[in-house]
Amino acid sequence: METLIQGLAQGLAIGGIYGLITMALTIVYSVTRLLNFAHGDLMVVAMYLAFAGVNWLGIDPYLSILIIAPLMFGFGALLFHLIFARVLRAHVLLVVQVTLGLGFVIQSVLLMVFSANYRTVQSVLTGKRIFIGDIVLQAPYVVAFVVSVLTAVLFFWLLHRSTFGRQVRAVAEDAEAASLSGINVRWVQMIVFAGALGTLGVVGPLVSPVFIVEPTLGLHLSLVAFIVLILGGVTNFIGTFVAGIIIGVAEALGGLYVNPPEFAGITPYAIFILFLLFRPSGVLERS
Amino acid sequence: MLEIKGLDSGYGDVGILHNISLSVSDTEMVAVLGSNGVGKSTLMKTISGLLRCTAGSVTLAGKDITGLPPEQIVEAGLVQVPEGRHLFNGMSVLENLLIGNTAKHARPRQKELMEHIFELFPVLAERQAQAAGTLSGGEQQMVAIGRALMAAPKLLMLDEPSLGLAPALTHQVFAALRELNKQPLAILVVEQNVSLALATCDRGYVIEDGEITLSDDAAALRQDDRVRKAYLGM
Repeated sequence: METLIQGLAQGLAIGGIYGLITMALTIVYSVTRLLNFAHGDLMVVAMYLAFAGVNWLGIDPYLSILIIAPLMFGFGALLFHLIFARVLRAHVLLVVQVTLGLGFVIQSVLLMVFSANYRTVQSVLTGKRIFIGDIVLQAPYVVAFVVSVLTAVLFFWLLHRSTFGRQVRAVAEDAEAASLSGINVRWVQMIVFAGALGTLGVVGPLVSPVFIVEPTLGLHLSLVAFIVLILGGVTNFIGTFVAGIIIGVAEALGGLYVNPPEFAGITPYAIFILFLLFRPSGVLERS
Repeated sequence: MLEIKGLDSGYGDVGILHNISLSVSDTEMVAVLGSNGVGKSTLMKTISGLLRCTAGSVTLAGKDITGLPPEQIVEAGLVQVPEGRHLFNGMSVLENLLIGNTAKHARPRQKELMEHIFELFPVLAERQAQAAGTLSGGEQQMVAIGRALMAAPKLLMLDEPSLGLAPALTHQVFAALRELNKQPLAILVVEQNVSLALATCDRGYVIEDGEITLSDDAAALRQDDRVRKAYLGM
């Protein structure tokens, strides 16, 4: 019983993070129609920045978010300008190639700078526990979950209550009509792309204490994000978050109960296939 | 207000428009007429900046707006109601209007502009909170016009406002345009319903095969044999 609750808590935390990184992927897709296969790799960049912060500068990963998030935002603006803006009207396969290529470039750079060693990132919360009655929870997971939920709520609020959010939704629905209404579509796309990377700059350091960081982790994260994207119903943001939690919990419980353990990794994919078979429109019906 | 000189445009290497020149004065309502596929929509898209022209110039109120991106053309005061309305269907009527209020010079006047639109189309005030996609065709056209007016245009440009509307509603839309024109607001309208356009507008241009072949006062065009034969079925 205790293992189950531990597993659920861990799954919820990781799932919330999956939901959040997929929301970032989804919103970029809806305003640019760009599928960014380097999404996970960019998150790993943020994780390594947190690692470097702790080991080179002695800054706690939670504190380093204040530096890494704006840094990633700026990096996002630069990347959009240098690469993504140029392929916006290109064929989808070219976009896939370019973003996959970017992912490989990132992996190679990480490999050169940080080597292939598996890294763990220490934070002030490492080893700390939170007790709720008989239940013992690892503090880093709890913090990751709480922050991811808060960020998702903030995301949602911005999208539906702010002027910029309204412009984002307009561009997502009909970019041409948006530009005829006076919206600078290119600017909205750039801010959204940079904002998505900024989000990764929050999420990366946040989860770096509970992940084992290595240069090829990004591909796994991208794959998970794409599964969550489809499970959630592509542009349904609440569905995306729910789908993230489902995959996170499936992964955690799979790791605990699947025998032999070598097969644990397939649980999210098995759930994904089941959903495609029985509920292809996603976790929540599109409103 | 609007002065177009020697405009050429098209898609990629395919030239559609050749040497188009036309003008709209501050108080005029002008029609661009022609059948399907002669380049009317291409002309609209070129003027509003969705397409780049390959030659010629577009001047609005003395300012050269040739080759500017669409949002800067809106900022300059030329706003297009696109063909087929292109509302943001998932958003409420109010949100659609607010999106139209993006131009910097129009933002401080948001309240005043919206009141004016609700005066012109009272039904929109009642339907503010309703999703735009659930409105009737006529109401959707009103939202589309309202959204454009929220940018406080100096010149309003409409591409086939009668498209998909019942005749009674079409007349209502044109009556509203006439009303707007009296404020005064310069209006350029592309329309396939030639008889209605010539009954409402001051002047007209006829486009055939990407070139202007005829231009005159609306009254004169109504009497012109070529127009009567080709477009009015007489």
